[in-house]
Amino acid sequence: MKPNKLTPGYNLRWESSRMMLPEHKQVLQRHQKELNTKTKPILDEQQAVIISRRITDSINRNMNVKIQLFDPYQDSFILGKIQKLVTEQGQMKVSCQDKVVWVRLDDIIDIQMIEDDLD
Amino acid sequence: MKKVIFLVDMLSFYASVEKADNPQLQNKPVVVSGDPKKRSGIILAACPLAKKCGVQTAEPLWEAQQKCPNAIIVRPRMQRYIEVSYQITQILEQFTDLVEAFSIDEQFMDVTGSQRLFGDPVTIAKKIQQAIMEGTGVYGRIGIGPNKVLAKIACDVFAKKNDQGIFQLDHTNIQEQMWPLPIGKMFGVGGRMERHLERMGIQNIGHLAQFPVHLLKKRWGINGEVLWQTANGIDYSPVTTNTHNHQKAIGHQTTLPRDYETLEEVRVILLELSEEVAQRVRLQNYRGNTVTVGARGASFEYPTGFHRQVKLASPTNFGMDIFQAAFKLFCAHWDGLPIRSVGITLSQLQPADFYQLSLFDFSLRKEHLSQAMDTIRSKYGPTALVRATSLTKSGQAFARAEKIGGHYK
Repeated sequence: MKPNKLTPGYNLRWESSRMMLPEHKQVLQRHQKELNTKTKPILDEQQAVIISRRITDSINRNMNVKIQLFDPYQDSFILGKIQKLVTEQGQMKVSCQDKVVWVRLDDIIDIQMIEDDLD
Repeated sequence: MKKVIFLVDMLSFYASVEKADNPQLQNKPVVVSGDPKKRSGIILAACPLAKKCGVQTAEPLWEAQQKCPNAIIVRPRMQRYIEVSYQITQILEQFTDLVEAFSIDEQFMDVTGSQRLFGDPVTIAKKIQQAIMEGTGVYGRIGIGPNKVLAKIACDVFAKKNDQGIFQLDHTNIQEQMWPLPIGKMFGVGGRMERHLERMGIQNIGHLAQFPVHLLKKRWGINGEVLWQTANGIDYSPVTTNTHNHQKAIGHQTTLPRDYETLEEVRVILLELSEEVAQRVRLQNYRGNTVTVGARGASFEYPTGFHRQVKLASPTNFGMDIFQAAFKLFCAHWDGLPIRSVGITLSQLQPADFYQLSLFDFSLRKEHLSQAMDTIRSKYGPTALVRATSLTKSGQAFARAEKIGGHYK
């Protein structure tokens, strides 16, 4: 059933009568978003070793990977194949299903190899 | 555990902010008023000194000046008030993470879990009053209750009137405190509802609380039961921080600087409003399916106007699509009398990430066009790019860009 003003746990009773300027709402929405920002985790040395091994392994074995990237607002992942590693620039090239992206090595939090094909 | 909800309300908010920002105004009567040459020339806020002379909120400026000739008139600064309101939100968040803005000068908070840290409800309320005063120079009144509706009534009816600015209402004292109040004082009862209820023999809140709820439900449906619950101090709504996130509709409404009499003139404002709505819908990454148009006639003695909606064939976030639907609706329902205010709303919003493509409407080009317009406007300001009709004398795009909520930024 659709919730109405009497449904416990919903805020419809107050949402229907409040007066909020859109500009005010925007400020509060931004505030809520900032409250949930995450700080970048500091990787354990061994964790960093594991990640770099998995990168080379997956290139050698031509396997798909799932890479978790740092994002202050949400969990962000990319799926694809690592094509090229450019350590001097601290980047690597990953081909996803329909596009190619450059990933900064600093942004990588975790990486998993995937056995089966993506398609 | 029994919940403890606060409603924090700022005393003559706009006027208090002006007084805090400008100490020279401290001991003088101050009113914040819109432009007296235009229709927005009404009192938006009056400080207690001005109110003592009889000035009331929402009366025309000239009336207030007659009552209080030495009142200092200040032009509203909406952006500043939003800033201070946000600052207060942050002060309140030092006491609990559950803070919900109800309007620019009223905020709910749930301090149930904060009592071990800060003390009993009244002690917390006093601390909050002090913190707001120190941080912003504004005096806050606090209603305390076991739920939102009692906190609201505690604030509106009692805390605003007593010296402390704090009042606690709960199920132990509603019978003696709240029930004898006339029905019009209850939150949710407006002028018309007051008359309806009085005709049913309901004079005060206690009468309504003891009235058979099924009769109220029969007459007003859900709203009848809501009123009955309010009278009995029942409210299960949570204080929630994400209540402003999901939006059901996005709309713009404007009171015109003068009455518009011809279709040609109204058409200009409809197009401007459509564009504004579309831009905001795109900004929030939505598309909407239903267009609503509302208009109000110029005459106060014989109020006219309509409020109609139409469902579109496919969801849109383009200004022109909204305008076409809105204009058609307007033409169909307008009685030809002068128009005082119009509004356009797009509702049934859905995420714009994926949508059903229309076979007959080539939307990619429109999408590129709106994208380009949004980029230009976000870089060079909302009036960097306007429709040519906005340059005619009925255009309001430039005037609207300087305002928030119909008043100067």
